[in-house]
Parts: sequence; C-alpha cells; structure tokens
Amino acid sequence: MDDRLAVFAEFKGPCVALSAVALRSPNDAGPSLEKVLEVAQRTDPKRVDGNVGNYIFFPVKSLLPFTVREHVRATAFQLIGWLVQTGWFAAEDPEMCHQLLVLITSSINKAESEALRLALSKAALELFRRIRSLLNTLKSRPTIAMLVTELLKPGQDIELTTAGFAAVIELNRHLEPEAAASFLPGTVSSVTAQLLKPGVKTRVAVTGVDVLTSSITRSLEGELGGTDTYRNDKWVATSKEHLEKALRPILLKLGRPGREELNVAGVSLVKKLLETPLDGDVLVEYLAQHDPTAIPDAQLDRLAAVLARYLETFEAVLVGVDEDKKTQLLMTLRRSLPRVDELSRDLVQTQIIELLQSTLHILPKQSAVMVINDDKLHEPDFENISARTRDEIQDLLATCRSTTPLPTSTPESFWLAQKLGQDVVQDALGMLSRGDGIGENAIVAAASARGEDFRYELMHVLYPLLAAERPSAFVFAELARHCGYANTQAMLVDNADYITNGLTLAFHTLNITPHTPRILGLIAHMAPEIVPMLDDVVDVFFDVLDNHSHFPQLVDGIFFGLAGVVSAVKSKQVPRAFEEGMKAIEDTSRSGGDEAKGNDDGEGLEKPMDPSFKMVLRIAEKAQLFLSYGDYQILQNVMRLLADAIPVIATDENKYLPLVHLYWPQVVKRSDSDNPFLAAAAFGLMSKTVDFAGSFMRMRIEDDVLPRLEDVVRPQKDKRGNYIKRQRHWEGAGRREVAGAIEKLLKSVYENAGLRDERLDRAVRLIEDLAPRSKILSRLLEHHAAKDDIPGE
Amino acid sequence: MDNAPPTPLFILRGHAGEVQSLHWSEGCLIVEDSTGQRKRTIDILTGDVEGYVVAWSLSNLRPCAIWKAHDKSVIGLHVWRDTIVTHGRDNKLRQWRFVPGVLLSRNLPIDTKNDLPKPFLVASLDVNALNFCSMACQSWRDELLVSVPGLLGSAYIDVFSMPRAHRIATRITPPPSPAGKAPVAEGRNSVTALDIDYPHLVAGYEDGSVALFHLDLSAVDPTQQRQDGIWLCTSRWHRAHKETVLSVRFAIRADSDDRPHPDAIRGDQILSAGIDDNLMRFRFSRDAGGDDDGRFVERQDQTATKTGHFGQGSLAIRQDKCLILTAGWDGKVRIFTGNHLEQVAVLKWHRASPRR
Repeated sequence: MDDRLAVFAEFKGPCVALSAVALRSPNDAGPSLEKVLEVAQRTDPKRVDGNVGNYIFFPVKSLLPFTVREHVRATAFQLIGWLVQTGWFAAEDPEMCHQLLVLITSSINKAESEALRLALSKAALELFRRIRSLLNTLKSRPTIAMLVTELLKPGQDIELTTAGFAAVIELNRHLEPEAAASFLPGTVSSVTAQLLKPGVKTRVAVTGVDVLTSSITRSLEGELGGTDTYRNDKWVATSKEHLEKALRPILLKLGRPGREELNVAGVSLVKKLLETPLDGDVLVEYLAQHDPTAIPDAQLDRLAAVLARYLETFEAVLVGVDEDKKTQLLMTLRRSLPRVDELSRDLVQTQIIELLQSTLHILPKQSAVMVINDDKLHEPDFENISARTRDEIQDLLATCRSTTPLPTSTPESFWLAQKLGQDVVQDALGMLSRGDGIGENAIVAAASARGEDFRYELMHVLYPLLAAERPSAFVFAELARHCGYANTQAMLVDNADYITNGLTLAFHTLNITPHTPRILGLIAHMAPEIVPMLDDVVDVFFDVLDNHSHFPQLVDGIFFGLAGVVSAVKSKQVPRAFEEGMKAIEDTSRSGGDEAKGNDDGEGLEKPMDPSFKMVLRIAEKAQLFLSYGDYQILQNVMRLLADAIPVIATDENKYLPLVHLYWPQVVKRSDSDNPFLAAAAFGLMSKTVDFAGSFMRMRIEDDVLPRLEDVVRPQKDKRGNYIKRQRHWEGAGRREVAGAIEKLLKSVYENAGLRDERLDRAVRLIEDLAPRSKILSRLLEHHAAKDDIPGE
Repeated sequence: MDNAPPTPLFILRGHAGEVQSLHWSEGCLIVEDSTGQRKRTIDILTGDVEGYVVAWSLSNLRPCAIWKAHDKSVIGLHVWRDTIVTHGRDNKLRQWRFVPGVLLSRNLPIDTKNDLPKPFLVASLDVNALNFCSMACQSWRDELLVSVPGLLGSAYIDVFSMPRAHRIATRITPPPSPAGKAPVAEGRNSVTALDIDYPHLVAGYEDGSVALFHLDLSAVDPTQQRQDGIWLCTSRWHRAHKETVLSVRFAIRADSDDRPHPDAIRGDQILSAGIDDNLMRFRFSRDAGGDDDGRFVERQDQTATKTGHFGQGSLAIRQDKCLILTAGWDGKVRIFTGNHLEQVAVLKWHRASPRR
C-alpha cells in the first residue's frame, strides 16, 4: 500500500499539471506530457496498479484525437505503451483490447511523422505482449491484418522499420497457425520487398529474416491439409510454390559472399524452414554453400543431387569471368563433400579431378625462366583463373583423396597430383627444368608434410635442386627447416655425399649445364672434409676437360669447381704450409742462397701422399696445361687456381719445383699480355711462386721477372707521346690490378728470392721507382736503407 | 637402342684405400645408430686394402659401422647369422658380432689416425692368406664351415668350424699330377680360389687346375679339436685354364627347381675364371664321386667359352642362375647368360679391377 501511495505521489504533480494543460490546450501539452513520461520511464511498471494507471491515462486520452499535433500524440502513445506494460487494464478485457487495437491501427494508418509511427509500433508490440492469446479470440482480425500491413511498411528510420518487424514477430508468436497463415502472403510480400531493396541495412535485413522465419514457421505449424480449414491442401500447395519463388531471390541476397551476418541469418532461416513441410533444393543448396553441417541427415540425398548439379556447371563457371561464382562453387564443393555418403563422395571427387584436368591450363611464362623470389614460392598462373580461385581449388583438392595415383604427364596433372597430396617428389624433379617453380613448390610441400622423414628424400632432390638453372635459396632454407636442420649449410654439409654422387653421375653422362661444375666448388667449400673422397669426381672432370675443352663456358665452370676443391684443401692446410714455407725461405736466405733446405732434408723421406695433397697436385698439373687457352677469363681463373694450389703443393718441394718448371714459361708469356687483368694474374702467380720457391727462382727472376717489371715500370713512349710496350698496363680499367700485383711481386722478389748484389740492386731500383705510389714499397725501401746503414750488412 | 654402359645408381664413397672385398648381408644384420635409439639394417659389407670394414645401409646409402678388422687388406667377408667373418691378409680369420651398447663409428672419411671402436670379437684364428685366396664359407649344423688355404702350405686346404675355431679337416689336396701330364712347376700348386657347397668343395690352383673334393664330416664331433673330417678328391680337371685360376663357383640346381628358366644354368656345374680369357664350365654329379664307385678321376670334359678378355678376377652367379658376372682386371664387369654364356652387358665404371 505504501508503495502504491509513493508511486501515486510521484505521478500526482505531473499528472495534475498535464490535466490542466490537456483540457485547456492539448497541443501545448507536450512538455507536461514529457514530464509524466519521464516519471514513467523511471518507474518500474510492476509497481503501478490499475487505479494509478487510470489516473495517468485520464489526462492522456485527451491527447489522442487526430486533431492533436502528431509530436504530442507520439509522446502520448509512448506513455500508452508504457501503461500497457503496467497491466493498467485487464488483459482479459476484449473490449479494451479491441479499442486499443483500433486506436493504434487507425492512428498508424493516418500518422505522418515517423516519430508517431515508431511510438505506435512500440505500443503495438507491448499490446501484443500483453494480450497474447486474446488476439486469436478478437473479432477484429481485419484490424490486425491492417495493423500488420502498416507495421511492415518501410520507414526512413531503421529504428521504425525494425520496431514494426519486432511487433509482427511478437504477433506471430501468439497467433494461431490458421490466423498466421492468413497473414502469410502479405507478410512475405512486404518483407521480401524490403529485403530485396538495394542497399538494405543489415539490421533491417536480419530482422526481416526473423519476420519471415516466424511467419512461415507459424503458418506451417501443426496439421496441414484437409478441406475444411483455411490451410487446406490447395493452400499448402500454393503456399509452397509461392514461398519457394519468394525465397530464392532472398536466399541469393542473403548468401552473398562477405556478408557474414546475413549469411548466418540465412542459415538460421533455412534451418527453421527445413523443419517445416517446405522442401526444395534451394534450401539445401543454401546450407551447402554456408553451413553444410546444418543439413539434416534426411536431406543428404538432396545434397548429393545439388553437388551433381554443381558439377554440371563446373566447367562453364570455371572458364567464366565471375570470380565470386567460381569461389562460391569451389567453396560449396569443398564444404559439402564430407557430408555426402562415401559412394557419392568418391564419384564427386573423381568427377572434380577429371573436370579440373580438362579445365586447368597453365599459362606460359612471360620469360623463359621465372625467377623464384626468396620470400615465396610461385604457384603457376592458370588461364581464366585468378590466384584466389586457384587457392580455392587447392583447398578443394586438399579435401579430395584420389584412390588411384594421377598420371603426371602434364604440368596441370602434376599440379593436381601434388595438391591431392600424392607423392610427386620424383616427378617434381622432372619439372625443375621448366623453371616455373612448380617442381620446387611440390618438393617443399612434400617436405612440409613429411617433416624429418623427408631427410631420406634429400639424397634424390638436393643435387637436382642445386643443378637447376636458378637455384632458390628460399627452397633450400625451407627444406632445411622442414627436415630439422639448423640452416641450409648444415643440410648441404650433411648431404654432401649425395650431392657429390649426383654431380659425378651427371658428369659421367654429360647431363650438365654450365652451372653444374660450380656445385663441386660449393660442396668443397662447405664440407672440406669430403674432399679426399672426391678423387673420382675430379677424374670425371678431367675426362670432360680432355674431351670437351673447346667449350669455354664448360671449362670455366670446371675450373671454378676445381678451384673450390683447391681452396678447401688450402683452407685446411695453409697455416701450417705457409709457415713452413716461410721458414724454409728464411732458412734459404740465411744459408746464403743455397737450394731450398727442404731439398736436402727431403731426400729419402718419401712419404705416402695425403689424398687431398695428391688431388691438389693433380688438379694443378692438369690446370697448367690450360695456360695456353685462348679465353682470358679462363686463363685468369687457372692462374688463380694455381696460386691457390701453390701453398699446398709447396709442402713437398719434390713435387712443387717440377711443377714450377712446367708452368713458368706460360706464365711469363702471359705476363706480356695486352690484357691488364691477365698480366696482373700472371704477376700474382709469379709472386706466389717466388714466395714458396725461394732462391730456386733467382735465375728466372733475373731473366724473366726483372726485365718485364722494368719495361712496365719505366715509361717508354713513342714519337707521338703514347705509351708503348708494357706501359699500356698503366692505362685503362686494370691499372690498379696491375699495380697491386707488381707491388706484391716486387715485395716477394725482395724478401724471398734471396737476391744479392747487382740483382738485388736492380730490384731495389724498381722499388725506388714505384715507392712514391705504394706505401708497402716505400716501407720496404726504408727497411732496405736501414739495412744498408748497418755495418756488415 | 642405346649401347652405352649403364650408369651406376649410386657410388658408395668412403674407403681411403682400394676396396678388396664385398659381401651382401641380405638384411640379416642390424646395428644401432649413433644415438643408440634406432636400428639400421646392414645391406653391404666392404673391406679395403688398409683392413677397414664398412657396413653400409642401402636405405640411406651411408655407413652404419666402420672398424678396422685387420692390419692388412681384407680379402674375404661373410655374414653368418648375426656375425661377420673377415679374412685378412694379416693371416687372420676373425668373427665379429654387433652387441648393444657398443656404438661404432660411422663417420666418413674414415678416421685412420685414431683407433675406432670395434664390434665384439667372437673368434680369431690364424690362417694362410699368402696367396690372396679368399675363404669360402657355408653354414653347417650350428656352425659355419670356413675353407681356407692350409697353414701347412698353400697347396693344401683346411676346413674350420666357426665360432669354435676348430680345424675339422686338413691337408686337403688333390693327388699328384698324373703320369704323362706336364709336371707342375714348383711353387705353382698353390690354391688360388675356393668355393664350398657341403659336401662339395672346389678349388682352383695356380697352375690352372680345378679340383673337386667330397667332404664327409658326419664323424666330426664339433666339441673336439680332432681334425677327423674325411675328404676325398673326386675329380680334377688338370690345367683346365692355361693360367692361374682366380675364381671358382658352384652352380648347383635347387631340388625344388623343377622348371628352370631357359637362360638358367642347367644341371650341377662348376664355373671358373682365371687370368686367361676362358670362362670354364665343369659338369659334375652331386650324388656320386668322380666315377660310379666314387674314386678319383682325372677329367678333361670341361667346356671353355672364350670371352676375349684376360684377367677375369672374380666370378658371381645370380641366385636364379640366369646370369653370370665376371669382374675383369680392365675394370669392367661383364654379364653373361647362365645357359649359353653369351655376353649381354658390360658395366664400366671402375678404374681398378673390381672384386666380389
């Protein structure tokens, strides 16, 4: 009681004020009405009893006539909506319900402002909630039908439209199926019109779908058919037909890709509809596209039929231009395949693979060789198919399992087999030469799938990958990662034996490219411990050199490879050999120009040759034969190789000095070359030879080295003032190379050749000439001057 | 049709010295890998001139175990049950077994500077390896019969049982040269090739002769070191080869083989190859000795096939007896049909003479 009085006290003041204004001037009652509404919205409707409700309604009813301004009436209907919630009138009072329904219907029918319509829609919603089942007993079904029509009218405001939809949903909840069925055509028609409107808002569409769901399910509830009822057989048949026609465009709109909220609403609608007697492929198709798991088991046969129909259009869609259609088709197939029974699945899979085989056409590359970027592997480009569609095909194939291995006769079928998860590693090796990355891609995919087990395949794949025209660092990095290696180098080192084997066999069968011999250098560089086992590989290289020496590119590659072997051996031996070499030279100098001391000590101490040493010696002996080759690049490489080999071979003077005899004449000849780079390489080799042969070279220095250096260093010009003879070396791009090489050679001659008297003076004079240009030589000169100052030196 | 020699599928690299012997283990040997977790099946055993034996797995084409079995070159290898028998030029015959817990080296190149771990040495005995003749082995009862040139002289053959290392038959040698035949030059009666298929034992000699022996070990007590095996030389093909015999092999028809392949070797035969260019075929009967009463017979009924290639150092017969392979000093392996000895292929890769 106290509570009732308290509520009454709250409303009393605003209601008295409202009464005074409403009776006198209803159009000015807006502010007073809003104060009452404000109090009402603060108050829990349950606290308000019928008397208080009547007390509030009394001034409000004066504001409801059409003569009152709409904004006042809008507020008044808001208040009525609230009053309906309070239970202000007895819900069992059909007369009151009827009057309110008529009031709302007539008001909404004539309402011009959206605010009034909104208030009325909300009031209608509250009224439907309040009177519930009484709706079915009212005589005023035509009024309700008119109200439904008004509620479903579109508004500018989303709020208004959704409020109307909400009221209709509430109405459907309480209507009997027969009654709902009578409203169904109008409801479907109105909602469809709104849903199909271009640019319909998502919220409106989702609520509209809910209206459809509630209307259709309510109308088709319970027992259908017969002759006496409204929902007789004819009605059922007609309704089904009309509904399917109406639903098709709606589902098409709801199923558009990228509209997740609408898609979900559509799935919800279709799921509910499939519980009704409605059937039809259109519903199953929608679920197949968006949520195949929601398809009831009873409809799976229909799903298989839908997929079969999809396959009929498969080829046409895939070669078409509509990318959305392609992706939707592929996505539907992928999602639905697991739902169909095994037999159907096998048939569909087989058909998909066959269709793809006939549809896919890999486009030829723009260039002969496609570079594989290091950041990603390239998938092939297909005719009429975008990368997005290709990815969808890939996903679809990942769900397919071909029971019989696909013959990989074409790049297309190879790609398909690879994406089907078949073991195509061996076939992939045959695809490497295409240079389009498909083979590499397949190998990396297989490695990714098999993880460390793929290590066993490395024996087959590493060499072909290395020998490919454009080996990709990314491919190797990926293989190393999948196979559990720390990095690419670790993988290559661990599998150096397999690579070497591939290299040997390739050379034996002459299945080589200019790039192939370089692999030997790479392997020797990365795994020098394998060098002693490469003797037969080197033999094969020699055979190829003997038989195919007229191919400069091949010869260059072979010397690159052999230089790698020499460099690997040198990197293991050079510290020891170099020190020994230096020590021997120093000893020679101290002993006053005797032959290398090692010569005496070496007598009778013939030891079995280390395999690495033997190999380097053989390479050097072979390489010196190519000092008469015509190609400058190869000549430079050969001389650099020999320079690298000298520190290794010099550990055995009995092998080294005869070798010097062999190559010296050609090197001297090459130092006269017009090509400054070649001359520089020859001077470099001379320098290295002098370093390690010591006083053995004195006569050669006097006869061959010093005269040439004098020619180069001392200017000689012709009558016109042009440099002649070897002075040309000081011109052009190679002058720095030549200067550097001469600097080293002079230093070697001065320090290691054990020159005395006049010969030494000759060398010193050359150093004096060049000292202004070279810090090293100027320091050497200072050192020489200091030595001269010491008595007895 | 391409007449070029076929290319090897893979080259097993690893030995520092020449490979002197090879044996297929047929997957009956298993060894732990370096982690001690995974087992690997050994498919091939190879022995080199420095005494190292490498056990290879063909699944990854890498060694599973490397050890130094002998101080000198390994001239013979055989796998018997879970053991490996090695015959070295250091005059030792050794039997090895892989035991759990002993992790053997498998790193290449072979570390010749340090002592590598070795498998468990089951047995070791002194034998004669002066004439490079490799042992011949066959399973017998629960033992392994090993025939090697005799300790008392290279003209004799001894038969040992392993792993007891008992000599169960000794001084096996053919009778002296028959009258009328050219006398055997002194020092040319050494055994140079052996093969055993109990109760038969065949030996090739330096003078080109081939002798067939019949062994009877029924009275042998394996627990006793009594050398009580009985042997009988049943046949000899005197100077069948013009030069030293380098390899002999039995080609005995299996009892179950009712319908042999048309290219297969017919009947029971012995095949031999030597320094000369002949491939010899000797027919014999398993059921009898040289003649009906089992006495020694001098025979000259061998069939010679000229191959045109001298120095066929090694001979092997495929299990179905359809193909015969010879390895020549020219580094080539030649393949012949079993029935007609027609050359069907030549494998060319090696620079030195291959060995079986």
